[in-house]
This record gives sequence, structure tokens and C-alpha cells, in this order.
Amino acid sequence: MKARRRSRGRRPKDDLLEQADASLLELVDHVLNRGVVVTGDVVLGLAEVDLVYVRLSALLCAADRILGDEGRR
Amino acid sequence: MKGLYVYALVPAGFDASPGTGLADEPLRTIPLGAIDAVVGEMEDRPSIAPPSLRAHDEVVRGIGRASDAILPMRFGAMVLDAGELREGLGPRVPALAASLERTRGCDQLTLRLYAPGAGATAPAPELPAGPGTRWLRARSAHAAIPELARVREALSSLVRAESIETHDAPPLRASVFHLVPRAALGDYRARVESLAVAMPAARVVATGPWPPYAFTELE
Repeated sequence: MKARRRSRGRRPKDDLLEQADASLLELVDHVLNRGVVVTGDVVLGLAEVDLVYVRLSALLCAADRILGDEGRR
Repeated sequence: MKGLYVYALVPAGFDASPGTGLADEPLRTIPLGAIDAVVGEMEDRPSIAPPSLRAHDEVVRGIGRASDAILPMRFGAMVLDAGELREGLGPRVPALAASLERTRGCDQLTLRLYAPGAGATAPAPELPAGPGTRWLRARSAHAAIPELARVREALSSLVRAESIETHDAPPLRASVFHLVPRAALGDYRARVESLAVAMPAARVVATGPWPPYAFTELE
């Protein structure tokens, strides 16, 4: 399991972000970006998770601009 | 590959048996000295998808409701067996126990601070980054956002611990994570609402209460 990575054919980060709303972005940031990590564990293909983080920052910004009060939950 | 999905760390002696996990699997604990790891046996690691993320958060919140102190694991933490978990966490257990104790009786509130101004200055590359350097860089980044000082000053008496990230994505300037005793949550929310009135050019967006996802760093 330590060496296992997700196959390259799937792009779950895109599925995730297509469905993004403000509350989901907050959930992603808390659940994927924080928390205790077990040393030696390879978490779900780290490169793709990093991409989620980069886009998350932009989306949090966009949510404030676009969604206004409705987006601020 | 079958393994143990790790949801959270809690004080030793926790009864996980009433709970179920992401795949409706029964939860159990693996003792690690002063702390227990709450785990469920799963056939495979869950994919990164909104339902899985929400389910992970719900399981962690359920554990948090049953335990006065909790350190959530990051989504996707999975090990082959108890031995691998002990190997991966064992040397850090004393520090993790201290972090765990800090969360006792608290929830996390998250603030996103949106304000006019340029984004955070990119750090100079390739410079040594010891603790002192990191502290100076953080202080400099915080000073560049005057609204951040007002937020911190308004809330500092209500928080047990604080973590701040500055962002290079204007108007998002900073994320502030606060560990707040549950008895103070009402006052905290009231002060955040007051901040919105006191800083008309800025927006402070609060979410929570969350399990203390941002307070699992070792000190």
C-alpha cells in the first residue's frame, strides 16, 4: 500500500472542483489539506492533491467575488 | 488492498464500538500508549470525491462528539495493519498527545479574511529557513495586512490557540484558524459579527465549528 498511487487515467480533482461551492471548498481545505499524516503513508497521489490546493485558493477567492452573501456560509 | 483507514486520534480508553466509518464498517481503536487511534477496516482507499470527503468529516465529527479531545487524521490516511500504524506514529506519540490535550473542550473556527491590497509577497527563494527566519517572514506577511491585526486583537481573549496562513490570491489575504473553547463559541461569533461592522472595506467569513483539523501540527 505504501507505494500505491492512483492511476493516471482518472482526474477526480476535476470532478471535485466542477461540483465546488463555497461550503465544499471549505470542506476540501480542512479535510484534504490538514490533519495528522501517518509517516510513510502515500496519500492519494500527492501531486494531484497539490493541484487541488492551488486551485482551491483561487476558487475561495472567486467564491467571494461571485457568490456574494450566498457563498459566505 | 485491504487495510486500516485511520480517522482520528483520541485519548486512551475511548470506546469506538458504537460508531461506523466511511464504508459503514465498525470502528475500533488501536492503543498507542497515551492515545488511541480510531480506525475502520476497509477494502480499499476511498477516492477523492465530495461524498467521500463529507463522509470522512461526518465520521470525524461523530468521534469528536463522543470524545472531549480529538486530532483528526488527514483524508486518505490508510495503513496495512496496526504494526504499520505504530511504526508510522509511534515516535510522535508524546508530541501528538500534547497536541491532543490542547484540543480538549474546543472546536475550530475558520476565518477567511478578504481585504483590498496586493497579495502576500512571495518569499525569497533558496534562503535558509530556520525557525527564526520563518517567524520573521510570518511577522512581515502579517504586518502587510492591517485588517489581520484587528481580527486577532478582537478575538485573542477567546481563543486557546491560533494558526495563520497568508495568501497570494487577492482579495483573499489570510486564513485564520482558531481553537475556541465551546463555552466561548457564542461570544466568538458575536465578535466576528462586530468585526464586519468595524471593517466595512474588508470581509471576514467564518465557518465552523470544525473538528480541530488545523491544530494537528506538532509543537
